[in-house]
Amino acid sequence: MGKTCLQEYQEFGFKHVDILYLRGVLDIQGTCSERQSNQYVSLSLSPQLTDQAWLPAGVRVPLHQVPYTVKGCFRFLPPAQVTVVGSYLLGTCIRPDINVDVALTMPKEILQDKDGLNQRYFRKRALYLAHLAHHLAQDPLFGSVRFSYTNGCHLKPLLLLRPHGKDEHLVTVRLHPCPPPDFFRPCRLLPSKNNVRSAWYRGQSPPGDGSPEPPTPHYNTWVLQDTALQSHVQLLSTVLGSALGLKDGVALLKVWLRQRDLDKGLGGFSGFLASMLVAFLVSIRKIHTTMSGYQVLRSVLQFLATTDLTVNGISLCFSSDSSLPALADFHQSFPVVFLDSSGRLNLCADVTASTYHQVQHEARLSMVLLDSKADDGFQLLLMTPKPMIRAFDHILHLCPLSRLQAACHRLKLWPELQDHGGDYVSAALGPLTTLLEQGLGSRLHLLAHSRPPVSEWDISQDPPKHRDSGALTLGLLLRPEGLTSVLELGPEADQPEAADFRQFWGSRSELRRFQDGAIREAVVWEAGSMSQKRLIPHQVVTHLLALHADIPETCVHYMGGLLDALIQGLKEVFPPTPVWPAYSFHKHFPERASLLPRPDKPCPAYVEPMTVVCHLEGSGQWPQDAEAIRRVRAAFQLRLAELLTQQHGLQCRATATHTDVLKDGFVFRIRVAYQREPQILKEMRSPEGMISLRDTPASLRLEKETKQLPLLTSALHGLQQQHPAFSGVARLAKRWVRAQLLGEGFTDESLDLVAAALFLHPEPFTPPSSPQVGFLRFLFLVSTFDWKNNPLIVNLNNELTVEEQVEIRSGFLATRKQLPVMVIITPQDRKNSIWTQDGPSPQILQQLVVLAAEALPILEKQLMDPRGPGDIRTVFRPPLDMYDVLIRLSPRHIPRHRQAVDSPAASFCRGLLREPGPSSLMPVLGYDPPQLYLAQLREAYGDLALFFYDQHGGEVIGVLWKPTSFQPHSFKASNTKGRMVVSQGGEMVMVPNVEAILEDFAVLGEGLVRAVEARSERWTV
Amino acid sequence: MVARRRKRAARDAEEGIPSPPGYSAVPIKFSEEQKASHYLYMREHRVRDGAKSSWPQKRTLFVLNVPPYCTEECLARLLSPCGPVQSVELQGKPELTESPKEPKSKFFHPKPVAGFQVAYVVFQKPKGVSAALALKGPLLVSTESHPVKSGVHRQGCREAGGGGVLPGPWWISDYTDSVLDPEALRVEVDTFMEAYDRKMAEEEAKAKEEEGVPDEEGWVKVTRRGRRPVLPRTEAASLRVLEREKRKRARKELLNFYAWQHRETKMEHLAQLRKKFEEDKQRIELMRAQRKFRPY
Repeated sequence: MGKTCLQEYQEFGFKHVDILYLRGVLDIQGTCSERQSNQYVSLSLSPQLTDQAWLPAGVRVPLHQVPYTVKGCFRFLPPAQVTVVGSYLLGTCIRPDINVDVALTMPKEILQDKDGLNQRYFRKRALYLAHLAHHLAQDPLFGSVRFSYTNGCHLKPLLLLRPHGKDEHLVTVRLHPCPPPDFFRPCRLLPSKNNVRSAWYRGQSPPGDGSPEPPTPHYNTWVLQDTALQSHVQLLSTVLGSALGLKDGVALLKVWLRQRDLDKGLGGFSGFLASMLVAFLVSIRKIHTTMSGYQVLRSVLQFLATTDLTVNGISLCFSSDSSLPALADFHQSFPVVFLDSSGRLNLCADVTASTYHQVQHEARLSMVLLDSKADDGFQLLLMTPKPMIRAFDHILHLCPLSRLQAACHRLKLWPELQDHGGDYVSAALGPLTTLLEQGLGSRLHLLAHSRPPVSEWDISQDPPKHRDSGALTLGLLLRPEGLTSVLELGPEADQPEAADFRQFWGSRSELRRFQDGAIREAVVWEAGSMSQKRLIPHQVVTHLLALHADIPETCVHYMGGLLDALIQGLKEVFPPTPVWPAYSFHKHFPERASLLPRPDKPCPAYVEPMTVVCHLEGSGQWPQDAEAIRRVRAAFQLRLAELLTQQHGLQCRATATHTDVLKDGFVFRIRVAYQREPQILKEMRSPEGMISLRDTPASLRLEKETKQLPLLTSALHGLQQQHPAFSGVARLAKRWVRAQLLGEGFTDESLDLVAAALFLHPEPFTPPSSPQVGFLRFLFLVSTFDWKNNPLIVNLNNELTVEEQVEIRSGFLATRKQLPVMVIITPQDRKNSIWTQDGPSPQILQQLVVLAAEALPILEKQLMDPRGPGDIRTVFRPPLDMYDVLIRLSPRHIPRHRQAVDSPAASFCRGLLREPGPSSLMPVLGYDPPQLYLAQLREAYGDLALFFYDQHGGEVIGVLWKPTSFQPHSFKASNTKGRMVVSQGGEMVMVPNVEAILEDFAVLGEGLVRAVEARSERWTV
Repeated sequence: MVARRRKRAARDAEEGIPSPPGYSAVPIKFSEEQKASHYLYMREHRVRDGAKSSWPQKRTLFVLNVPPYCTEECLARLLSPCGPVQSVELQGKPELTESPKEPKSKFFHPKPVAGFQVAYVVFQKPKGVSAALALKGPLLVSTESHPVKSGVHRQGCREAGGGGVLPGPWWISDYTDSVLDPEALRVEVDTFMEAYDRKMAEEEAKAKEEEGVPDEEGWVKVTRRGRRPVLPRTEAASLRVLEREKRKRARKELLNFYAWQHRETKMEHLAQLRKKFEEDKQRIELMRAQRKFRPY
């Protein structure tokens, strides 16, 4: 036997590591043979299964033995056969988990008749492994010997062997004990049969009325799986054997599944299933052996996307033996059906319907992506991870898991518990997901669940308990159109379904009369704003779980709207709310009908007017001179104010460039624009009298404000109508960037466009339906996007064709040097990236990328923590240790103080009334002392230092000296700003006058500045 | 650094404040409370031969590095002990060439935020300049007799002398200044437009007068207003004309007619292919560098 094993290894050309393992395995046999002779002579003398005193001290049985008493005897005999099975043999193993699966066939002698009953086989299997583990642990060849579960099935432990030292992560040998071939009679293990007796399992005699024992389909499958290891590997090696393309395809599929976290844990869609699926498609001639890896991947995805295995199962068995059970029998017992070549084993037995639907959903998305001709399809399909937290809109954790045990009793799931051997999480999962899917109805696109990862434990420990294995995490993918409704409409009151509806919703169901006269059962949820409506699923889930599964609200940790608090503080800005200033708080300026800030009061509330661009009709009457046009525009502004005051009684204030209009507490800033003005600003007259058009700063600014901005705003408005979560994502993104004190480098529009890209190009995800997931993807995009080599194309309104995009990319490569560091392309702006022209600088962008890469894992970990997220604002607090000087501001003069990330417990009254005030004077507009102070600092010291500030209520300004500013240079009359002359080595050079500048910071911001902290250890002059 | 600073201070005391050649350095501080001071670098205002300057020779002092909290009024007060000051003007940059200065409208050209500035101080007598150059300092911007406030509390001394000073903090007074009188704006717009219209009308009249009238060499200027309007003299128009010409020429030209033409096109084609190949190679190289074939 050993020889065949060796031959096998040599055939497949294993490396030296594996040869070591081989020796290890052979050594077991040597040791075991000795043991055999002197310890257990015959089965009749061997101890009972329950007598485990023979087990050495250092090893525990890797199985929960509940109930403990069970019939049967056990003794150890060396394995009858050692065979390598699984993907390593087939050459379809993928990194980083290189597993060599070894099947150990237990000799017939240690098994007894009826071992299939009442977990006896599993007990023996576990004891067999425990014995092996004890001996292998003493072998110096192995670095670690640990237990784990086969695919997370807690009745089937396996033994993991790893090499020493740095090779530890290279390879893992997994030992699977299995019964001798033909030991179990297949007809005993059909899904309709019972192999776990209620009398034994529940310790009570079956009810005497002769009701049949409940079938144990999962238990039967787990036994069958052990018997079929060899036949599966044979099947796969004949199919995949010589076809390289098929192997590639299987490997690609495994990567695809892994990136989507689909292959993990009990009931995962494992790589083995993918291989079997390929074998199935080969057998029905959907895949040919000459196909390439890509074609195989495509065909499998296509098959998955179009075939619903929960309704129409498939089978690898093509014999027409009438003794075989029908597919329909399997559908009754299992949600997903995929039979192997024996026709008796359902390969997808543990796969739940929601997992399969998730696979289908992913397959559909991927097919769309493959068909879309996107040039980075490979990247998106196979190289982008899709962890649950970033793929699903809302996440909820059920924790502690022991509550599910109570839920099982409440849902009357005793037969399932018996079938799953007491694994209440698996037993309750199916009914719970069905319950939630029904309750969420039209709000839900997809419900997915993620089991905690399969644990490993040391051989000297007991296996982990069910309740210790973390939390059950559910992911909800929401349907934005279903989210707007606050009503669940039930049947009419006199219909028979009404009772079901009432039973389902419990006390929340009410009889309501509707406008069309119908009287119906209905459930109404309380939600006013859109952000509250988005959280209705939370109400639904907690209500249903408490009602039907006895899971109290405290055990449901819902992660959906935690970040909302950060942007709701911004209410004063967006969405705009009317302001009613208190007159006593302000100084009056009656002749201009305006309010002014008062020096003896704190700074009044920050009111930002909403800009309206008013294009006047073209006319030949306009003058053709830039200065004159400005005068005419000013005249229009004056006239506009006059007319609005006269005809509509609105309070107006005109200036040369705009007219502010106060209406119902909102302030609009109307700017009159003349279409030809940018053109006229561009005109240059050469000495020969030739007129040419050249962009000037003034013309570019004007074009941006009056032409491109309205276009962009309307496009983004359209996007918001389509995806209501857009504004939330954009606001969170801005909030975060500004909280990191980097707001100065990024215009509003550039961040809006990055957020828009998440909705317009969500691949491989779906467009986000909650701000939380959108923000996570924003961080992911910012931290991983290659800004240097790629433009971010934001295809608003889908105006750019694929060919145009290719053209844009090649144009980008050709002109990379002239373009800003961050390039965002829209259909209206195909070359210049106007919104990022003036910033950020490469260093600022780099800083943002670093911060995003740091923030993403922290935030994801917080949100995935079932015990609660802790302090969600952690990632919104800026690191201050990198700045050279900190200028602390006094909150009294920060008008947006309440918008700060850590909302201050108390701030100053800003002179706003809650109710509409009596008369209407123009409130103080856009008066923000910190911004005025910053402008002054940047003007005076911008050559020497950079200033960072969070305009939303930040209390600190970070100052960073420019690296070049401390280099002495020779005297120049044009560049003496804040510098002084010193003699260095007999030469007169200029250096910054740092001490005086630091004192200037305090002088310029007197009243606003609380303290200037210089960290002089950070620099040397 | 502190040690160095101290050393430097000691040296300053011994040798006087270092100053660039031709300039004298005068320390200036905001008030007594500040420990460190900025330095004003002053010299007599001079211009190169032949160049004109709007400031009188001999009597003008040129000051560099005026800190942002020091206004024109403050500077005048600080320098008045040297002799009566006629005018002070602060600018962002030293003036290189003489330019005609127009009074700028406060409606259309809001005053920019002040940083470090340069000043031109005109004394009534040349003696003032030499006295200023000999100043020892340190000058104090804010003293007890003339307190100057900054930041939120800074007094609005911007319109000093204008009469209509609105008392109140600096940023607040800035805000107050930005609330303008619409009537004044209207008046200004009207006067400007009247002047503009008059100018336009004059120009038009002049053009009309000159139309068709030959100059002394006998040339007649053709304008847009003539009976047959000519092409406007813009770059776009001339490019259009050139393009048309080129097309016309291309239509007439014989291609691939002579053997040398054949040869040249082939060579060109090859050169282009080579170039494209190189470009593609570079692009693939770049793509390789970007792609990290490591999915996780």
